[in-house]
Amino acid sequence: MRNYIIIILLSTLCTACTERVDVSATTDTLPPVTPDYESVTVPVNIAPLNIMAINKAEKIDVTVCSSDGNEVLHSQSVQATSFSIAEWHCLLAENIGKSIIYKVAIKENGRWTQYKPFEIFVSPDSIDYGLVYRLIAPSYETFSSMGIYERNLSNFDQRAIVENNLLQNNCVNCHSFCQWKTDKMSLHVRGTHGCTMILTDNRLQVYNTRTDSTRGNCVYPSWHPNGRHIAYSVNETRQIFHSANPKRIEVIDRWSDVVVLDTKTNTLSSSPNLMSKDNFETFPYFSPDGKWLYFCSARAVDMDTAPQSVRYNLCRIAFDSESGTFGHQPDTLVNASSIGKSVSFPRPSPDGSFVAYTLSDYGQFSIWHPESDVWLLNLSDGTTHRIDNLNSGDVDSYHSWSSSGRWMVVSSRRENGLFTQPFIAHIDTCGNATKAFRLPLRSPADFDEMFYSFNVPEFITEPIRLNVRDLEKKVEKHDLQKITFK
Amino acid sequence: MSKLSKSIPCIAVAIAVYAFYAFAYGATLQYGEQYQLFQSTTGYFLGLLTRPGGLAMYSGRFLTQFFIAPQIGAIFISILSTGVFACVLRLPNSGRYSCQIAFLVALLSACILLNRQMLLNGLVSISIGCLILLSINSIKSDKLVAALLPVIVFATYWIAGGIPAAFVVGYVLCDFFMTKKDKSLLVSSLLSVLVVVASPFVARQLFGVQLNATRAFLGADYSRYVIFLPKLPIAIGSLLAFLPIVNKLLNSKVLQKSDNPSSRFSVSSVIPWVLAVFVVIAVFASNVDFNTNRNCAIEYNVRTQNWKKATELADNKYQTDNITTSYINLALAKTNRLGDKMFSFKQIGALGLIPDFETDSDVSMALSEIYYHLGGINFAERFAFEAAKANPDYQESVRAVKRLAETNIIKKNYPLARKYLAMLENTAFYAKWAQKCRRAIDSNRTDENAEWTRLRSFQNDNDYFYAEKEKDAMLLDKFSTNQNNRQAFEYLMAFYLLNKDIEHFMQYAEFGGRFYSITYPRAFREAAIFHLRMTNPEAVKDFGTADRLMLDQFYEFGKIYNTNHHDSRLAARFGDTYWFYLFNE
Repeated sequence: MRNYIIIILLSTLCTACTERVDVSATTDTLPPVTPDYESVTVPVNIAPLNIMAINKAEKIDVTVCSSDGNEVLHSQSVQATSFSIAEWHCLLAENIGKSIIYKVAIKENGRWTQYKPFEIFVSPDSIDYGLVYRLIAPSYETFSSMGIYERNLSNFDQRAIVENNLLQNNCVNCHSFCQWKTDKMSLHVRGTHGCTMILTDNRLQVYNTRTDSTRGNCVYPSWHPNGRHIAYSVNETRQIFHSANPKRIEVIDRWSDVVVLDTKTNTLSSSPNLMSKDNFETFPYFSPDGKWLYFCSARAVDMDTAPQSVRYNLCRIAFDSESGTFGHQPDTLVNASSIGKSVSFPRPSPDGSFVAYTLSDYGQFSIWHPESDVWLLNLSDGTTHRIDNLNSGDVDSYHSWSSSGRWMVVSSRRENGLFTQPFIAHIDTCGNATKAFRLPLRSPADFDEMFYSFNVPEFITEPIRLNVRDLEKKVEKHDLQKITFK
Repeated sequence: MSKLSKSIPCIAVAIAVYAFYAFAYGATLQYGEQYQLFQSTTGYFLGLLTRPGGLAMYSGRFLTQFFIAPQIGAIFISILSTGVFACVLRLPNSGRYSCQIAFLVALLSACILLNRQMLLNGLVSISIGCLILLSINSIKSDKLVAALLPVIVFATYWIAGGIPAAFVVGYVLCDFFMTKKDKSLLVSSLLSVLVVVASPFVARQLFGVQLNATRAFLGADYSRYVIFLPKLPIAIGSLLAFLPIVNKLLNSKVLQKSDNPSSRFSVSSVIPWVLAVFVVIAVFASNVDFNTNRNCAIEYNVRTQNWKKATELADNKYQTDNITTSYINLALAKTNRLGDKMFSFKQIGALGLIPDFETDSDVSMALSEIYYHLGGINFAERFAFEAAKANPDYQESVRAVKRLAETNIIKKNYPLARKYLAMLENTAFYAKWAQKCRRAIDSNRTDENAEWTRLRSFQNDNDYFYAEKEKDAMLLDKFSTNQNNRQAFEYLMAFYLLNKDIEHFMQYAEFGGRFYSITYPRAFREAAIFHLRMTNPEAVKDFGTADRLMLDQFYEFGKIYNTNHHDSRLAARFGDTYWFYLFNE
C-alpha cells in the first residue's frame, strides 16, 4: 500500500514538462553524478540505475542508449532520474553481454553542459530475487528504531519483515537463511524479551539459547545445508570508544566459543577445539557441502588491557552432520596473525572454490575498521588475494555471496565513512571482481536523507514468509524453548 | 447566550494560552523543538502519512519547528486551543453550558504541553477530531451521516489516531441516545464502534504497520515516551465522547432549580464556570513545572551559547540536577568564571561537572556539549549520536544532527558532514546555517571559523579509550595535548575540587599559571590556602596582601565551624566558598 502511494506521487512529480536541451558546452570529463556507475557490471535483472547530480543543479537530463547507439531511455528531472522499470528491463534484456551508454547533460546557471558518456556492462549472470538487510543507525551504545527489511532487487520494493517497534523496542539482528531460501530462517531478539527465533519449514519457534555449559546466548548463525544444524558463536561482547580520529568504536569479545545447534533435538554441541580456553573462536560458517565448519580463531589475550593485540586466523574443522560430531584437528587456512593482520566473516563460495573473508589490522569486528577489506582464499591452491575492484579506501566488511556465486554484496562505508551501504560486484570463476555498484534506489537522494546503515546484507532467492504476528505473540509471551548442551 | 458572552471566553482562552506559552513557559517549548528534525521532503511526508495518526503527527511536527521562537510557537498553540473552543461551542445540543464546556476542553487541551515530554501531536489530533465532529454535526440528514460515519471514523483514525476516532463515535452514539434520531444512525454508530476497535488490526494486518496493538490504536505519538498512555488526551477524548450526556446532566432541572428567580445572580450559570475553572486549575497545577521550565531555559541558553544568560537563570533556591548543574558550570567556564564563581552556585559533586553517561537524550546531549567545548571531538560526536538515538520517540534530533555536522567538520570528515548538512538543509530554521557550512567546506574555508579552528587545535593525537571512571585522566590528556586549553585545565581543577581531592588539585594547579595574569581564581586560592594551612603552616607567612585577607577569612570560617558545624553564619558568610563546600556538602 505504502509503495503504491509513493509510486503515484512520484509519477505525478515526474510528469513535469521536459525541456529541450540546448547544449552550451561539452566537456570530456565524466558527469558529476552519484552514485558512481561508470564502467560497472550489472546483472540483467537489476532495478534501474537512477542517478542524480552531486551538486545542486537546475536539471539533469539523461539518455540511455543501447550498445548499437539507439536512444532507448530518457529522463529529465530537477533532482534525480526516474527510469521506467519495465523499459529498463527491456533495455537490459536486449543488451545482455554488451554495454549500455549513459549520456548526461546537467543544467546549471541556465546553461546545459554535456558530459562524457559512460558505459555500464550488462552481465548475462542474473542476480537473486532479493537482498535482506537490517536498517539501523550506526549507533554507539544506544539504538532506536531498526528493522529487518527485504528488498526486491529487480525493482525498488522494500518490505519490512520485522521492526523493533513491534517487539518492545528490543534489538533485532543476525538474520540468516539456509541456502538462500527463506523457509528456514534464524533471527535474534536482544533486550528484555531476548530470544532466538528459528523458522523451519514455516514453523516458528523462539529459543533461549543460553545453557549451563555455554556462557552466553548464541549469535552469528550459519545454517548447515541440511537445514537441521545451525552453527553459532557464543560471545561476551562489549564496546569501547576511541578518543582520536579516525576510529570511533571497538567491539570486542572478552571470550568466545563456537557451538552447533541441532534443531531436531534442541541440543547444542561443540568440540574442545571450538571451546578452547586458550583461544577465542568466532564467526562459524558451514561449507556448501556441509563437511567443513569455517571459523576464526585467535590466541586469547586480556581484552581489558590489550584489545588491540588480538588477531584472528581463518580455520576450519571437519563436521559430520549425520552424527553431529567434529574432526579432531582444525586446519589453519590463513595465518593472518603471523603478518600482523586479523580475519573475520569467512564466507565460502557456493561452489566451494573460495572463501571470502575480511582482513583488518586487529580484532574481530572489522565493521568499525577503515582498513578492512574483503579478501579471497583460493581453496584449490591456498593462495589469497585482495578483491581489488570490490574494496575501497574505507570499511569494506560484511560480505555475502549470491546463490550462483557470481555476485557478491559487501557492506561498505566508502561514501562517508560511517553509514554503510551495500555495494554489489560480479565475481568471475577465477575470483576476480568487476567494479562494485551501489544498491540502486528509486531516488539516490534517499541515502542522504536516511539515518540508517544497511547492515548484514544477505541474498535470498524468494520472498520471506514470516508470520510477524506469530513472532510478536511469542516474543511477548516469552515462553522460550530451552536447549541443552550435549 | 449572547455572541459577546461567547466571544469573551474565546478571546480569554486565546490570550491566556498565548501569553502563558510565549512569556512564562517558552523554554519548555524550546526543549521539545530540539528533539525533532522536521524535513520538508517527500520521503518524510510519506513516511508519516502511511501510518495511523500520520497527518496529525506531520502537522504537529511541522508546527513544533516554530517552538524555537516561543512567541511564534505559542501562536499555534493558541490557535489550536481556540479552534477546539470554537468547535466544541458550535456542537449542537450543548444547551446553555456550551461555553463553559468549550472553555474546559480548550484549556485542558492546552495543558497537554505543560509536560515537556508531551508532543504537539496530541493537541493537533484533538483539534482535528473536534473539527471532524463539527463537520459531522453540520450534516443535516441523519441518513447521510449514518452512511458516511464508518468511513469518516476510519479516516479520522488514519489521519488523527484512535483517540479522536473514538470520541467522534462516542459523541455520535451518546447523541443518538440523548436525542431521538434516525435509527439507521444507531446501526451506523455501532458499526463505527467496530471500525474503531478493528482499525488497529486493519492497520497491522492490511497495511503492514509494525506497531504494537496499543500504539497502533493511538496512532499519533502523544508523548516522547511512546510506551506510556497519554492520560490527559484520553481524559479529554472521554469528555468529548460523553459530551451529550454531560450536557444533558447539566441542563437537567436540578441545576436550574437552584436559581432564585428574584435575583439577577444566576447560580446555575456560575456553578459550571466555577467547576470548569476549578478543573482547569487542578490539571494546570498538577502538570505545570516552572523549575523544569527554568532548567530548560538554562539548557537553551547553553545550546545557543548565551553563557551569561544561562548563569543568570541559575537559582540556588531550586534543587538542580546533574545536567543543569553541568550546564551552569559549562557556562561559567565559557565565560572564564568557573574558578571564581563555581561555588556561588549549588554544587553537587563531580557529576555536576561531567555527568556519567546514561542512555538518555538529555544526559547524552549535555555530555556532547561539554566534550565539544573541551575539544574532545570524538566523544562529542559519540554523545551527540547517543542523544539522537536515545530520543524515546525515535525522532532524529536537530540539535544532535547539528552537533554531528560540526564535529565532522572539525575532524575534516567532510563527506559525513555533508550528509548531516543535507538533512539540515531540508529544515526551515537550520537550512541557512547548513548552507553556510556547506559553502565553507566546498570552498575549503573551514579554517576561517574561529571556533572550529580552536577546537581542532585541542584534538588529541594519542588515542585512548573512553573511561567513565577516569574523567580526570581524560581531562589531563586534553590539557596536555594543548596547554592553551584553559577550559580543560579549569575542568581538571574543578573536578578535583568537587571530588575534594586536594592532593591532586595541588599537584597540577601550578600548570595553569599562564591563564591568570594577576592571581589564581578565588576557589583555587581557597583550596590552596586550606591545603597549605594544613600541610605547611610556615608557608602562609609569606602570603601577599590579597592572600592574607583570604587567610583571615579562612581563620574566621574555621573559628565558626569549630564552634558549631551547623552555625547559620557559615552559609550566610561563607556559602560561596570552597571551604563551605568542602566541609558541608
